[in-house]
This record gives sequence, structure tokens and C-alpha cells, in this order.
Amino acid sequence: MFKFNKIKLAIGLSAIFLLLAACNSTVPSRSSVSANQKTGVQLWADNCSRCHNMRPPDSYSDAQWDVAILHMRIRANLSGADARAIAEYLKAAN
Amino acid sequence: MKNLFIYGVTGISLLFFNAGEMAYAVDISNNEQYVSKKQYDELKGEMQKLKEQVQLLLQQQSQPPPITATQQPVINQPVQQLPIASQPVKQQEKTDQDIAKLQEEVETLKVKNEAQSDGTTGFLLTGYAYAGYKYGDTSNSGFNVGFNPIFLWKLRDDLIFEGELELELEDDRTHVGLEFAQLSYLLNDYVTIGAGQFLNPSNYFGERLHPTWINKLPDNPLSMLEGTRLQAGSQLGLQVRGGVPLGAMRGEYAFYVSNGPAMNEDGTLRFNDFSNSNNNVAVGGRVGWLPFTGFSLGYGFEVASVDDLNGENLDVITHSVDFNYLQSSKKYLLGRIDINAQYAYRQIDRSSSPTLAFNNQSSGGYAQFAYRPSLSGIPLLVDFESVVRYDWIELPNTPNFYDEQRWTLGLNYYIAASTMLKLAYQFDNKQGALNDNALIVQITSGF
Repeated sequence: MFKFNKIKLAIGLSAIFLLLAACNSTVPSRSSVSANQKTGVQLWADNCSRCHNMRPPDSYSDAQWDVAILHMRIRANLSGADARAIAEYLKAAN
Repeated sequence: MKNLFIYGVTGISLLFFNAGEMAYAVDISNNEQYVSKKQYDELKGEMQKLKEQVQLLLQQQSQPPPITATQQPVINQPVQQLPIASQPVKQQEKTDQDIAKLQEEVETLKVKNEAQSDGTTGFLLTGYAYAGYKYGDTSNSGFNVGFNPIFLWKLRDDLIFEGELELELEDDRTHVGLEFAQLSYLLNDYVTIGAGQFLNPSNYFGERLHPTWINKLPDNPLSMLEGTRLQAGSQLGLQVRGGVPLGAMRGEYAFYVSNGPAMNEDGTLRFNDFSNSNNNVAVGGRVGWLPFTGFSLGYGFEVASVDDLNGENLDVITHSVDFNYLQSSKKYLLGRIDINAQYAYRQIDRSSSPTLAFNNQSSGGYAQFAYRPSLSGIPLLVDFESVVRYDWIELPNTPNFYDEQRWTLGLNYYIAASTMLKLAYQFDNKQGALNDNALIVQITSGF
């Protein structure tokens, strides 16, 4: 019985978030300013330092930042707009 | 300027040569005398010498030295004025064409090189490593080392594979572990779906703060250590996660379904039950709230079930809360403070098995404060950081377990942004076992 409840819970949660995903699946903004209007450098400072010392922009090439930011977007639960703004800043500053 | 000189000397030499011939002709006509063999040989020699000089000058002109921007206008003007300049001009044009072609090739090579470097192909190798020494009052003292390479492949803008290996020397062997291996699909700006093995999202320290180059102390809190671990370090299953803007605030979430844990004979849980021996799944997650910059508050949970020694199915529920605050201020703090805390509580149903018939309830956590005078402007201090942590664990009241508390004082020195030297002293207090005060040194680097 408990197993069944957990599976139901899992399915329920998945359904809720897939529904949310569908609701939010509009074309993402490509602006360098995220939804909360913070610039890339502000978002970089605010988010990256929450867990670790910030790596200097010249630590990676543009292409490497693209990969690293995608990884950190998932780990730190960044929104797409925030991640893009941070990536744009780092690639402009490296 | 040098070319102008060469052309000038060339012209003058030719004129001189012609003038010599003319003078000789005049001399013959006036004196009506034949030249001697000696005079002829001398003149022939001089002529030969002049020819060689002219040849040499022409050769030098055909191989001009590197031209600087300031020299370029000076060169062009005299070339057009000299009577013998048509050949050098052609050579100059050819040289310019060669240079342009070479520059084009260099640009092409640059592009090719960039395309073949790490990252452009969607691959990035990163990770961290550490080496250290622990001197414990009652535990074994010795050196230790570890290396955690992280492999990232960005397959598309919305698809990425992440994998991390853990390589450590343990006892008489090299431990090789798989920290995570996950394929993630970014459904949209706010939802990411991942499958594989991933760090446990309901355990904030385990997911975000445990890497040695991030962890401000050289060891982990008691509730994160193998043997007394209250929450899994990683999960094998599926997860859905993301971040959402909440006006000026932010929210984050992560929910997962994974293979469930298994129960050990002493009533503790084994989280690396990759075969999922009891066929049960664990469901868990974490929601976080970030009301303002530097602050986050999170709640995590996991529900699972395990089989005891008799095959009886027992429910397991775990709750956790985490708190993280970071503040930098030159005016008030002369640097940065960093506060992290996490508490976890786990309840396992009472078993009817005689050896497990106790209240199987555990809790533990840590609170940590760090200060770095990074904005003090004092060169001697800016790279140092002081840390204090209190961590504890309360385990079931049986002879197999004991409660424990520790105070740890640490001093870190940042050699670089992601490289630090840690020195810590740990005051241990065990109820029912010998205390193990320890001095720990560690150097670590994230790369």
C-alpha cells in the first residue's frame, strides 16, 4: 500500500511540474537582463558566491563557459534567463 | 628608409658604372691609344666587381626586412620615382599578397584551434582534488588524498551529460566511486528533467557544499559521514528541478524518484543499494526560498521503505531544513560572513525483529560561521578566513550507537580563488565512547 502511495505521489508531482512546464513553455527571452531585471554581473555575484568563490571570467573560454553555466544552471536551480545573463557577462568579460 | 637607400645606391652605382665606360671611351678617342692587357684586366675586374655589387643590391632589395606601419608610406613613394623600381614593385606586390595569404591561413588555423579546444566541442573537464593529514587522539593518524574529476558534455543547448568520479585512497586500496552520472534535458527556462545518478537534492550540504574546494572545513559534518549518514549523498533515479522568479524573490525546487535505501543489521540505512534489493522506491525533494540576495531557506524530505531482517516492510521518512546566508560589506564587515546550517530528522518504523525493536529515530546537523576580511585592505589578512562549526548527531538509544557533538575551529588561507589551505582543530565529545580530538590539515583546489 505504501509503495503504491509513493508511486502515486511521484506521478502526481511529475504531472504537476510537467503541467507547469507546459504553461511556461513560451519562447524564452534572449535578453541579457533576466526577469528580475538584474544584470549578468549582478546575477553572477549573487548566485555563484552563494556556494563558492567566484572563478574569474578569464578562467574559461566562451565555449567552456557555455558548458559550465549549463552545468551550474542545473545544480543551482537558476532560471534560463538568469543563466543566459550570467553567461553573456562572463563571455564578454573573459 | 632602408629600401630608399638601396635604390639610391643602386642608381648611383649604375650611373657611376656608365660614367666610367664613357670616361674610358673619351680617353681612347682623345689619346688614340690602345689599352694594355693589364689596364684591360683592371677595368674588367672593376666592372665585374660593380656587377657583383649591383647584383647584391638587387638581391637585398628583393628580400626586404619586415615593414612597420610607420615605414610603409616612406617606401611606397620612392619606389614609384626610381627608374629601376618596376621589378621591386612587382616583388613588393607579391610579398604583400603572400603576407595577406599567410594572415588568412593564420586566421583559419585560429578558428580550427578554437574549434578543437576543450569546451567548443561541448566537453569540459573540471573537478577538484585534495591532500591532507589528520592527527587524531584515538583514531588512526595519517595522510589522505582524493581526486574528483567532473566530465561535462553539452550535447545541445538543452541537453547535457554530467559525470563525476571519486578517487580516494582508503586502507589498502584505491576507492573508485561514481558520484553522479546524469543526463539532463532542459525542458524550458524553469524545468529541467534529469535521469541517472545525481547528488541528493534534499541534502543541501551534500549537493552544493561538500566538494573540498567549497567546504570551508577539511571534513564533513557528522550527519554527512558514512556510517552515521542521515541523508543519502546521491540518488539513482529521475528528478525534476528548476528555479522560478517570485517577483523580486526567487524559488527553487527539486523532486525525485529513486531506488530506495536498504537496512543494515544494526538498523542504520545503506544508501548505495544500487540493485534496489527490496524493489521499493524513494520519493523526495526540496523546495527553497530566496527572498533576498545572499539568503536562502530550504525544506527537504524523503519517504521510502526498507525491509528488516525478517522481511518486514518499514516506512522511513526524513525531513531536513537548511539555512544559508552570505553578506559582504566593506563598511560594516570589512569583508564577508558566510553562515550555513542544516538539520535532518529521520524516523524508521519500529521493527518486530528482536534486534531492531527500538525507537529507530535519528537527528543531526551543523551550524557554521565563517568570516573573511577580504575587504579590509590589509594584504596580510585579505586571503585568510576563520571558521567555526558545531555539528552533532543523535542516534537510537542502543549499545550500538552513541550521540556525538563536535566543535571545530578552522583557519583557511586562499592561495587562489579556488585553491585553499585549511587548518582545523576539532574538539570531540562522544557519549559512550572515547573522544577523538583531532588536528586536520588539508590543501585543496578546484579546477
